[in-house]
Amino acid sequence: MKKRYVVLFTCLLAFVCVNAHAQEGKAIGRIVYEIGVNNPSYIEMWFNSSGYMYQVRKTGRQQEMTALNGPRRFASAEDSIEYAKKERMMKELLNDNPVQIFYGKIGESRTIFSGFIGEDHKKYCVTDSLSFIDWKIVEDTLTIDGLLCQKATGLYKGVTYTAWFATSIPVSGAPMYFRGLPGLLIKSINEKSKSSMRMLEMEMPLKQSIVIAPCTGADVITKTEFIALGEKHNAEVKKMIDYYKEQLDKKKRGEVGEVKMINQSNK
Amino acid sequence: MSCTGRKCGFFVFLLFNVLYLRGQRNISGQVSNESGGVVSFASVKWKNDSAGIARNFSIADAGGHYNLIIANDRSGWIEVSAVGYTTRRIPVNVSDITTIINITLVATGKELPGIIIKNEPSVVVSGDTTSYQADRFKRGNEASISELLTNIPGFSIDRRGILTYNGKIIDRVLINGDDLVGRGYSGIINNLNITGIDKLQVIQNYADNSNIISGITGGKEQVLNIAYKKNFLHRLFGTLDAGLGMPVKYYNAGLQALALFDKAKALVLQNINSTGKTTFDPLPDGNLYEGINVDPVYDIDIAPQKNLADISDILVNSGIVNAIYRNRSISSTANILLRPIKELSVRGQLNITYDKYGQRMDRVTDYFIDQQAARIIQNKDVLQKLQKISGLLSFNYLLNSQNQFVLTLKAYNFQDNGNAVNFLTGAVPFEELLKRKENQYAGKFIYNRLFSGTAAFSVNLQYQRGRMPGDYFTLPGAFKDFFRPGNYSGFNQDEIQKFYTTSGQMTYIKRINKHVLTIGLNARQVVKQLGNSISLNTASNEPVFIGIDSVSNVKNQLNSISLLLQDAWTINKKLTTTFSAGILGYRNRLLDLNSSPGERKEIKDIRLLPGINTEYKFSGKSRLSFSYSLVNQFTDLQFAFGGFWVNNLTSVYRGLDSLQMNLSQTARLSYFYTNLLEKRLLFFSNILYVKTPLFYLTEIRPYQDFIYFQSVPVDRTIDTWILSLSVQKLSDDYHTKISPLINLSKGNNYRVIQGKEEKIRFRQVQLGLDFSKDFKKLQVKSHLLYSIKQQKVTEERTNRYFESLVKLNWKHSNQFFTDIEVQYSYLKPSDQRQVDWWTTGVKFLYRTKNGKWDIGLHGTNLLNQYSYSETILTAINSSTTSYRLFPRILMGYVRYRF
Repeated sequence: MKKRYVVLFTCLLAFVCVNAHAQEGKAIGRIVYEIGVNNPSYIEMWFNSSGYMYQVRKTGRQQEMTALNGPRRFASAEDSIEYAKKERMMKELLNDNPVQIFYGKIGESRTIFSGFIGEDHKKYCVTDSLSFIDWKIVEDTLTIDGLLCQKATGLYKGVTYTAWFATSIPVSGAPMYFRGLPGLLIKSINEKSKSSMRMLEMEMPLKQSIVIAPCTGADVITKTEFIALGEKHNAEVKKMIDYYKEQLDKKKRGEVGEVKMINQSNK
Repeated sequence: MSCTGRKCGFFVFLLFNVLYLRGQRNISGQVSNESGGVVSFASVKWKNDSAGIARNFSIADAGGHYNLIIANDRSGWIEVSAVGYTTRRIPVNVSDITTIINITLVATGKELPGIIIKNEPSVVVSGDTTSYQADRFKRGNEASISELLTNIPGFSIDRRGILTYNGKIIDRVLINGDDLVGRGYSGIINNLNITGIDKLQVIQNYADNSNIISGITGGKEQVLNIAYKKNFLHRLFGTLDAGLGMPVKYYNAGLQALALFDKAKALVLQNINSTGKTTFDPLPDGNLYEGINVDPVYDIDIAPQKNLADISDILVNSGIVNAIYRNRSISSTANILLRPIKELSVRGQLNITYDKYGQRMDRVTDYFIDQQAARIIQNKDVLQKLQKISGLLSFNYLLNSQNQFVLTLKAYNFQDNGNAVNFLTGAVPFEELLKRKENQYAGKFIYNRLFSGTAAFSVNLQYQRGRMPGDYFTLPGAFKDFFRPGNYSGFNQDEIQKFYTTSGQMTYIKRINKHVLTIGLNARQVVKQLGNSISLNTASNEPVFIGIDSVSNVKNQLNSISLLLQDAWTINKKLTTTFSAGILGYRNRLLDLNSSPGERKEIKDIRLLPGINTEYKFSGKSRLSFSYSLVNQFTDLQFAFGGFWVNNLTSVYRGLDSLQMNLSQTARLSYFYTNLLEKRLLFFSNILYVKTPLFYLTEIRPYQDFIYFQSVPVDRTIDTWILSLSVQKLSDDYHTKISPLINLSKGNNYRVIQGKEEKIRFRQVQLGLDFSKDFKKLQVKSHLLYSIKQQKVTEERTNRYFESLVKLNWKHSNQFFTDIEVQYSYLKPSDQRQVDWWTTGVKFLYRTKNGKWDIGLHGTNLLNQYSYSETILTAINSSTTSYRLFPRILMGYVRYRF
C-alpha cells in the first residue's frame, strides 16, 4: 500500500515538475530592447520556450513634441490656457491609444496582433504571415552584460543582419523577423543602416505572472482585410473633413448660418 | 506526399549526391524527456568539442524533431538545451551521411537561474549633455578617473591631468552637479578612485546656477560631471591603500574619502610615497594651466611670482615621465561644500604638499653662434624641498532671489630649499643654494543684483598682496673674474619682491530680445617692488658689492581703467555672435627708489581692444566657431628687471629698466563634429593664428671659458600658425577606437647673436595614430607619434622624434587582471647622435569577489633603464638632455574600499 502511494506521489511530482517548466502560456522571462539611439523606441517582450508576445513603446514622445515646438508666445492669458488645454488633450489622446500586442508561436509562421481602427479604437485580432531571417551562426562570441553571446548573420529583404544571441538561454522567440536563433536574441545590427536593436533590460524567471496568449475578444481578420478596413475608415474621415471644410466655407460666404453636424445634415 | 519506389529512390539518390558532393552530413532525431514526453523547440547545436563554439544549429519542432546538417566533420558534439532541462552534450561519430540520434533531456528539478539585467544606453545625448555609463567603459582594473576616461570616446588627458573633450578643454569638474574642486581638477582626475561612479557627463554651455546672474549671461564652459550611484549617496566611502616595494625604501600609502550628503559634500585625498609620484608642478607655482583660469566668482588666482635668481628645475617638456630619480612626497587635499541653510553655501579648500626630490641630468647644448660651434656639456644634480600650503574659503549668501553676496578669502604659502651641483666641462664643480619663501593673501567681495529676469548689476572688489624674499648663493663665486677680478669664495644675491593689487569692477547686464548687452567699468592698480643686492664673498666671508648696480630698489606701478561694451547676439537658433569693444587707458611707471629724487620712467596710452566670437551650429552634431581678439600686454616685472646668465647657471639682476606695451592678436577658426550615436565619429579641426609681442631677446656672447647671455629689449612680434586635425572613429559598442592626428605649425622668431638680430623661421609636423580595441579578454591600446621640427636661419636644423606605446590589459576574470606597458622612443637631433630607449611596466591585480579588497603587484622600469632623453630646439640652441630615471621598482600593494 505504502509502495503504491510512493509511486503515485513520485509520478505526481514528476508531472508537476515537468509541467511547471514547460507550462505553455506562462511567460518565463521578459526582455526590453532598445531600437535606435537618437530617438529610441522600445520593444518589451515576454517569452517562454514555445511562444512570445511583445509591444512597441515610444517613450518621451509627448515631451519631445512640446520641446520641438519650443517656447511659445501668447497674445493673451486666454490663449495660453487654450494652448495648455489642447496640449493636455493631445497627451491624453496619445496616452489613450490602446497598446498593440504582437503574438507569435514557435513553429508557426503566423503571427497575431491586436489592431485598432477608428476614434473608438475598435479592436481586431489580425493574423499575418511572416517570413523570418534564415540565420547562419558564426564562430565568434561576445559577452554582453555578463551573458555569453554567439554571433549569427542572416539576410532579409536584401539587408544583412548581424545578431548576438545568449547561448545559455535556449529560447528562439524574437520580435519581428528576428526569431529562429538557438538562443535568446540580445542584440541585432542592420549592416546597411548600422541601426541596432539591443537588450536594455531582462528578467528571468519572471516574478510577475504574465500569460502569453494571442489576441482574443475581437473579430479575427487577415492583415489584408485590416488594411482594407483602415483605408475605408480613412476615406470616411477624409469625407467628414471635406464636409466640415465645405460647411465652414459656406458659413464664411454667408450661405449657412451655422455649421451643421454631419449626422444633422444626413437627417 | 507519398514516396513510391522509383521516385523515392531518385530523391534518396539526389540527396546522397548533394550531401556527398558538398561533404555534408545529416543528423536527425527527436528530443524527449525522461518520461518519454516530447520536448518542443529545443536548441540543438553542433560543436567541435564539448566546450567549444557552436558551428551549426537546428531548432526542434513542436514534435521534438530536429534535423542538423553538419559540414565535413566526422566527429563532434551535439549540445541540446531547452528551458527547464539540463543541457546535454553528446559525443558523436558520424560515419554515415544520415545519422539518427534521439536525445533524452532530464528536467533540472530546480528553479531557473535568475538573470536580472537593467540597462541604460552606454551613451545618451540629451541637448548639451552627453552621458556615458561608467560601467560600460570599465575594464575593472582602472585605478583613477583619468584611466577610465581613456576608455571613453572623445576624451584625452595630458600628463598634467588637463582634460579635453573632442579638442576643447574641460573647464571644470563637478561632483554630483556641485563644483567641489573648482577648476584645479587635475589632482582629482589623476588620483580619485572610480568606485561608485555611475555616469560621466560632458555638459556644454554650462552656466553655474549658484551665481544668480548666470541665467542672463548664459554659459560657455564645457564641464565634466561625475555622477555617483544612489547607494553611494548619504554616506562616507573611499579607499585606503598601502604598498611596499623592493628594495623596501620604496613605499606608498593613501587615503581617499568622499561624502555626498544633501547639505554637505566633502572630498579628502591624502598620499605619501617615495615612488616618484610628486605634486611637482612644471608650471609657475599655484597657477593654473594655459586655457584654464580659476573660478571668477569663488576663487582667486595666485599671482605668478618668480625669483630673479633660481635653481631651475629639470623639466621634461614632451615626455611621459617625471624627471626625478628619488623622492618623498606628502600631499593632503580637503575640499568641502556646506549648505547649512538654503540661503548660504560655504566652500573650503585646503591643500598641503611637501615634496623632496632629486633630479639629475646630462645635457649637451649647441648654441647657434654664426659659424663657430659653442657647446656646453653640463651635468646637474638637484635636490629640492618644496612645501606648499594654500587655503580657500568662500561664502555665498543669497539674501533673496534677487540679491547675492559672495565673500572669498585665500591664503598661500610656498617655501623652497634647493641645492644643485653642476659639473661643466673645463670648469670646477659649481654649487647653487637657494632659500625662498612666498606668501600671498587675497580677499574678494562680489555683490550681484538681479533686477528681473532680463537685467542684472554686479560689483566686484578685490585686494591681493604678496611678499617673496629669496636668498641665492653660489660656490665658487665667479667665472674667471666675470663679475669682478679677484678670488672669491661665493656669490650671493638677496632679493625681496612685493606686490599689491587692488581692483574694482562694476558691470551692468541687460537682455533685450535676442541681445545680451554688457557694460563694464574696471579700475585696477598693480604695484610691484623689488629690492635686490648682489655681493661676492671673500675668503673670510666678507661681502663685497660688485658695483653701483649691486644694491637696487625699484618700484613699478601700473594703473589702468577700462570700459567694456559687449553684445552677445543670438541671431537665430544656429548663429550666435558676441561683439566686444574695450577702451583701455593705462599709466605704467617705473621708479628707482635708490636715486634721490627717484628716477622715473613712464608710459601711458589709450587703446581700443575689439573682439568677436561667432558660433554657427550646423546641427546638434556639428558647429563652426570663429574668434578674434586683441589683448594688451605689458612687460612683466621680472623681464623689466631682466638679468644675465653665465653658462645657463647664475641669473643676476642687470638693472634693465625698459617698459613696454604691445598688443597680442589671436584668431581661431574651429570646427567640431560629434556624432556618437549614429556614425560613432568625432572630428575636430582648428586653425589658430597668434601674434604675440616680443619685448626681450636673449643675446648670446661666447667667451673663452663660458657663454654669457643677457636680456636685450626689442620691439618685435612672433607669428605662429597652427593647424590641428583630429578624428576618432569608434565601433558600434565604442570599444574599438582609431584616432589619427595631424598637427602642423609654422612661424617665426628672432635671436640676437653678438649684437646681430636674425629672423628664424620654423615649422613642425606631428603625425599621430591611436588605436585601441577590446579582444574579448584582452584590451590593446597603442599610440604612435612622429614629430619633425625644422628651423632655418642661414642653415637648416632638423630634429626628429618618434614614440610608440603599447598597453595590454588581460582580464583573466572579473577578479584578476594583468597589465603590460611598453614604450619605445627614438630621437635624432640635428648634428647629434641618435638616442633611443625603452620604458616598461607590468601590473598584476587580484580583486576579491566582494570587491572590497585589491591585492596587487606592480613593476616599473623593468629593464632598469638609467635615463630618458629629450631634445628641444629653440631659437638660440638645440639641447639634448638625458634625465636620470627612477630605478626599477617591484611593489606589492593592497587597497581596501569602504
